[in-house]
Amino acid sequence: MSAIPLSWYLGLAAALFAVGLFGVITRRNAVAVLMGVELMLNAANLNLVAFWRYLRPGVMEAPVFVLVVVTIAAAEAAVGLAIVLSVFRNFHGVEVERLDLMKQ
Amino acid sequence: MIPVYLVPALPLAAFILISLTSLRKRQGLAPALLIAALAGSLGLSIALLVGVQSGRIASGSQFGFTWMAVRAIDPPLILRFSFLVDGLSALMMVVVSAVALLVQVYSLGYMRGDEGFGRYFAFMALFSFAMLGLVTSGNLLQTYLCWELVGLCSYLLIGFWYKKPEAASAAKKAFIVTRFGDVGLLLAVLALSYSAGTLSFTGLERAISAGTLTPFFFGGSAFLTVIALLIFSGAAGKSAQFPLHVWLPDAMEGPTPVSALIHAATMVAAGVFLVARTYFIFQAAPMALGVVALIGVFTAFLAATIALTQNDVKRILAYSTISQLGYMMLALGAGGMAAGMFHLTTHAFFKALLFLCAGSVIHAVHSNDIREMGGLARRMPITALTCAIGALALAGIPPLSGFYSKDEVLAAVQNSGYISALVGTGGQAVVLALALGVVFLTGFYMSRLWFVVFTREWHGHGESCTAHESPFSMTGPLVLLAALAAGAGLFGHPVGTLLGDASPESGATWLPAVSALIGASGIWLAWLVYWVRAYVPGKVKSPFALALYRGSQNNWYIDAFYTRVVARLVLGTAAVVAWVDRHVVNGMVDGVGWLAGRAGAWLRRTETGQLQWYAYVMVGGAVVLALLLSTLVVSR
Amino acid sequence: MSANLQYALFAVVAASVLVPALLVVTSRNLVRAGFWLLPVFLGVAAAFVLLGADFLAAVQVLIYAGAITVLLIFVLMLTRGAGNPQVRQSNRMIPWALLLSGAVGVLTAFVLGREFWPVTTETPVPGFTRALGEGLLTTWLFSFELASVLLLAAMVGAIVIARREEP
Repeated sequence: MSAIPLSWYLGLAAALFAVGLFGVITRRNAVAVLMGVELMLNAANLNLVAFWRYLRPGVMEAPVFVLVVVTIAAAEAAVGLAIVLSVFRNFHGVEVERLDLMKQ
Repeated sequence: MIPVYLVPALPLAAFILISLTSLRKRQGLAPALLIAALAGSLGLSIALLVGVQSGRIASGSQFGFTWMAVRAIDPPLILRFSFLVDGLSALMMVVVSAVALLVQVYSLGYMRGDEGFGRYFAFMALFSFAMLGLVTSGNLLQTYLCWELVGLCSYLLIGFWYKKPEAASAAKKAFIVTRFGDVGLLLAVLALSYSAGTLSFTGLERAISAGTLTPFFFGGSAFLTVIALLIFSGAAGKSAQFPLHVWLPDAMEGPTPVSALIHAATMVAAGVFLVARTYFIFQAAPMALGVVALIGVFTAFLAATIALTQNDVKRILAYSTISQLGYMMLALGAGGMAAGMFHLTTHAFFKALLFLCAGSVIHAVHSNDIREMGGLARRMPITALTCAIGALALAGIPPLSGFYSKDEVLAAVQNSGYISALVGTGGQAVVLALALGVVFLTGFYMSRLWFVVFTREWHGHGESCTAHESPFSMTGPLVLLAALAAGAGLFGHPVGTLLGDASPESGATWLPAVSALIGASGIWLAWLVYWVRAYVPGKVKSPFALALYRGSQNNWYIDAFYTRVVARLVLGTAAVVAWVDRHVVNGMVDGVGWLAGRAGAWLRRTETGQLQWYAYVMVGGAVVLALLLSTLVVSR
Repeated sequence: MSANLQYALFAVVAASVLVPALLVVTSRNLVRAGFWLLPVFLGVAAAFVLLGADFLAAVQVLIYAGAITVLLIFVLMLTRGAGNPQVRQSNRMIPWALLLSGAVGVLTAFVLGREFWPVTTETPVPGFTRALGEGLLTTWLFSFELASVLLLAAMVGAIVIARREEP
């Protein structure tokens, strides 16, 4: 029986998520934005595992879910960074502010 | 039971067939179809007339069916098609189909070689249908329908030679001027429909005599007076009474048979017929009848003065027609409905005759101007003789028909209570004097026309006159019409009984003799001037006389007035309205577009293209949503 | 394990996660920011261990700390991200972002942190890895295969996108 209440872990995950969000919105370099995204993904995973441990530790659904999330995070990082490379070749720079081609 | 609906239906069938088959090719088929149809209509009309006259056919409505019924309102509005057979409609059916038939036969010769040969007969067929439908109609709605259709055919036929600009504008003028009158008629129809709940003539007559008409403006008899005057305004338009007479002289741009049929014998008589048909309304509004008589006599005198100085043969006849229509209105207004209708009948015959003679002459000489004619009696004897008969009939010389009908009109004027009620016995005497003056002027200008055209030397182009008599297809109808013009005087009494007025008007015993003498003196004066050359018109130097002459020749500047004043008024208003449309209405529409553009531009500021802005908005929106939902959940 | 020890361990893990995270999102030197990711990921892995998901901790270290961090720093180098430390790396939206993240964090913490979850007293069965492996290849085989296909697609896609165009 763990002495740490569930809510502490959830609070930790929430804080990590908030930090990641801050990074996504605030950073000027595209790679830095992706770093913030990774932080958010980790927070989500943390939440999942905490819930699994305190609510249903007998079944394996949650860990499988977490595994898939990690997989997808890796795939997304790979593709996203490939895009950043491509952008760098065309714009000679990866400041997010400059990427406003979708502007109306 | 003779189906009266066939009388207008036969020409309608002819119209449809002609339109489908012979507008371009096989144009020879067109007149054959129409003449056959009109012959059938004439036969039926005569049978109906004989039947009504002898009492075998009862007067009343026939063959009605409901066209449209609006039962959602109270009282329900029910529009019907119905045909009315009585003395008046039977008489008109015979007159219309007879004259129409003769005119179509004449047209065979007159219109030969014209490229619109088929189109001509198609329009004539449509007109015949409309006119016959008008006279057999059993309710005001159907009458109005046919009324408008007749106006349309007049437009089409006046502007038949549409490539000629004068013809096109004359057609427009006819339509627009009659439209002014038609508005009044429409208002009357609507008012009657609303207050009486029915538009059938028998129904309306019943409602008025039973007093069940509910006037919704003015009082009882004032309401009917207004209605009657509105109906008369429509009649004044079609029958060319002052001030709506200006279209008829210009309508002479159409082919002469058109002038003969439509603008002498039938369509222009439609106004007179309408007043006769709704006479029960006028009789309930005596002041209206007085007004009709006064306008009639004024028009008659005015037109006669203009006819004196015209040099275009068709224009002389046109003004003569206006004058005689005024005579008919005078008779009706004086209370002599039978007299007016009798004059309509005789006038139809001799005026159509005169127009066809004119057409014959124009066809031969290729000109309308009487100053370019002369001495044609030698070369066109039949035309000359029949024209003389027509002219004498018009002038009212016994024993021709015009004498009898004119006499009845004058007697009606003398006996009238309606005229004296409006303008006193003194005024009545003035009206009678004017009517007699018209007799004198009529005799003069008709004789002038005959003498100048058919006697003396040839004044036209070329060394000598190369005119020749017209073919039999044209002279045949002339002869027939001349016979009718001469002998129709016998029908006076029968017409009277037909129309419910058994005893013919009999005025003072001196009246017939005096009117004949006055007519004869007009002829004698013309003989002096134009045959004997006792007074030569060119020698008159008095400035007053010259001013009168010029005024008369320019139809007393009425047309000039209309062009300057009325047209300017209308066009000025139109310019103002056009400005409003361009700036206000268009402005509003453009304004909506402008507004949409500005709103779009303002909203576009959210599309920054900045990734982080989009992310921010997404998450922020989710937070707001979560807060809203949480408050909802908590409050529950 | 005593409660105090657990509290202490949790405190260490929390600090190890949050403090470097803040540094990740605020460093002017982007390479440093990238390296500060490592303690964050390791801290999360430690948290997984505390929660009894040992295999997941291993995966976390391998993938996140191992592959993803390296990838990020590589691309940083390739795109000249290691530039002038004088240049500002955070944009003008800092106050707004603070507001939003604060709101999100607080909201999430409070909503989720209330004491109504049906917490059990069960302990995880021993043999976490074994159970996970069996499950992946039997009950959740479809998800496993799908994730593999996804990885393949991502791999191919990344190669195509990042490929240098033929001159």
